[in-house]
Amino acid sequence: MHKFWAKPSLKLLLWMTLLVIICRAVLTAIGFVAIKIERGDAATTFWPLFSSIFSKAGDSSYYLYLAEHGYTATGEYAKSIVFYPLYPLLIRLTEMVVGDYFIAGLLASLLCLILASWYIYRLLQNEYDDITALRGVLLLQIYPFSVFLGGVYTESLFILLTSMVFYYLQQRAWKTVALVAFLGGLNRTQGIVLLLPILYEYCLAQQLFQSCSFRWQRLTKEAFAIACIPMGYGCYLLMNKIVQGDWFAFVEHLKAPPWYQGAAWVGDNIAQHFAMSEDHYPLGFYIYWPQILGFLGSMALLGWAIRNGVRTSWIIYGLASLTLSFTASWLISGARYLLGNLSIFLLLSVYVQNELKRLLVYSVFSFLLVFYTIAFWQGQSIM
Amino acid sequence: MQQFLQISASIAFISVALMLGKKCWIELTENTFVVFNEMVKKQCIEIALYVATILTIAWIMHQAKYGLVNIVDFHAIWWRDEFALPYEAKSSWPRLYPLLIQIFGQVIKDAQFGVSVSLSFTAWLGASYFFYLLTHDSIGTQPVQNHISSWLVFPFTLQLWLPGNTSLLACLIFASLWYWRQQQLGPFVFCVAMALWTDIRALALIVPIAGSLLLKHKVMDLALWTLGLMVFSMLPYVHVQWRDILLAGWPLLLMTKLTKQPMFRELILLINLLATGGVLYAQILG
Repeated sequence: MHKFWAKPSLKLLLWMTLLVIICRAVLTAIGFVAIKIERGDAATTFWPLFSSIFSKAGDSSYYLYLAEHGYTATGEYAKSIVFYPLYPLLIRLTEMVVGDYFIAGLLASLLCLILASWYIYRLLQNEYDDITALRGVLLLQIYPFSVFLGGVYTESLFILLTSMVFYYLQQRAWKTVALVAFLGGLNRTQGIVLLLPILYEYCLAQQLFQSCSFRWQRLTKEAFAIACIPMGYGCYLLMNKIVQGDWFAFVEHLKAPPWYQGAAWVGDNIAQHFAMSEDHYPLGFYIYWPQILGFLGSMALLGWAIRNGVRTSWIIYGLASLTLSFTASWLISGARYLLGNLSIFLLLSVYVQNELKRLLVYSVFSFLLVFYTIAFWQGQSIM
Repeated sequence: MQQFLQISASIAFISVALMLGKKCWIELTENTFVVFNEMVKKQCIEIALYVATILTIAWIMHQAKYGLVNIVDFHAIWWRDEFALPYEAKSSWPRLYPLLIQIFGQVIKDAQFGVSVSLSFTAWLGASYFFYLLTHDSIGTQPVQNHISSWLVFPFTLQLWLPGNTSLLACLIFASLWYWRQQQLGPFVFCVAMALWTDIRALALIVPIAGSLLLKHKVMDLALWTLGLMVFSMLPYVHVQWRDILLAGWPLLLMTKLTKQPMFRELILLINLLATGGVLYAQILG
């Protein structure tokens, strides 16, 4: 028994649990105290306020509805087909244990975040060292929009799946990688691009393109498992077909209010974000400028990573995920999508090895984290 | 500010994508790209300088005859009128080149001109790459790089990065020959099919393929392709232009070998530059 608890991986899990809980508790306290001071109302109690904010903000209400009722073809919630099924399914399974959908959603996110932190730590520890690993986990926790990690959102689950994919890629465990990436396709649109780093690592491991020639004979049976990854996304499309009679029913819903989303070139989208920030004060501070600066900053980071020998598959995923997120027109959740892009945090943890850069990134992240957490609790348009 | 952000975001995105593409290629193919990369860098600088010179000369010629016109307007009008319109994809079964223009045009708005120029330019770099692969074993890296310079100043080279399918066809032909030499049937069939879709003269590939099967002599493929191309160009209904000389492999190889000699190199350079001046004069003022 003593030996079991002394296992390094379990010790690490306990540390990660502690770290995540402390970070979430501090953030929650900041939000709650700020609202209490703002209202000047001693009668405001924690739980009613917290649950009203976190169960109704943004997409949370859709996930809770889906967990409870499932997808529908008609009515107000027909549009909830745009949300992927894995996270609502996880809420439903957790609800069987805890008996409340909202608490189940929070608990599912928290557990995923703890496990994701463990995987991120191990991933960076194997690639670099302990301190870089710790920075990776910390950066995720202090990202200005990390308030979503503790809410009823898919981000924590998706980060868990992405970190698992990268971790098992490092171990060359192709079948596990394929299975986790399959689940990624059932969780978010960005899940489908997990295929790219996997394909790249596989080609590299098997030396499939050595000397500019494709070596068919080096393909192994694991290639079949990798080829099955897009089936995760295929299952989502099949669900569209079964529920609403069209493989791409979600596309029509995305085009309609409240999302108005289509596809457009990234440059045009960034220009549109600027125009919106000019026309709709103060949305620029909450939605559009974080998106513009987040996109340009991420591009700079990816460029830096390419020149500084960071693992290529991380960069491939980072760019692919960023592309998928920022080619969506009328984007309002860009800052949250960046939170779900694990590569950004992996690259940042390497970038901040320099003390001055670390000080700069930590300061900017911390100040903005407080600002956006309070704004989220205030009910501002933090999407 | 809005336009600045739009351009900055696009440039940042494209730059990172290109840098990443290069990194992936180097890692996957184990450094084959490095030599080519050096070549491309050299080529791009030369092209930029050369194109700038040519454009300025063309503009000055135009000014001398027709009076003052803004340099940007002049090139936009001249290039568009001269080259772009015949390649619009109007037929019910378009060829590959105009079809590619249409596809890329969905992303980049100036479909007829901007896309066709960038597509031609990219295809030309691709053609240079495969030509490099085909010849560097027999004549070494430096002569091939010299060849690129010589090719650059050929009187009709300017047309290779203007709208036109010559670059694309050259790229696909050299790629086909390379994959045939490597005995990679899949990529070979794909490149041949694409080349045939681009231009019927790709049928001339029969000659080097049959030749290599009969003679078992791989090094003859460029010469046999040239022979086949000449035969097909003489057929009725086949429209031949001066720039099509650049499709022929063997003269390119010969020119490359000649440019090993500094004296020949200078001579060829001078002749080419004089001829380019003549071509420009004819196209602008004639």
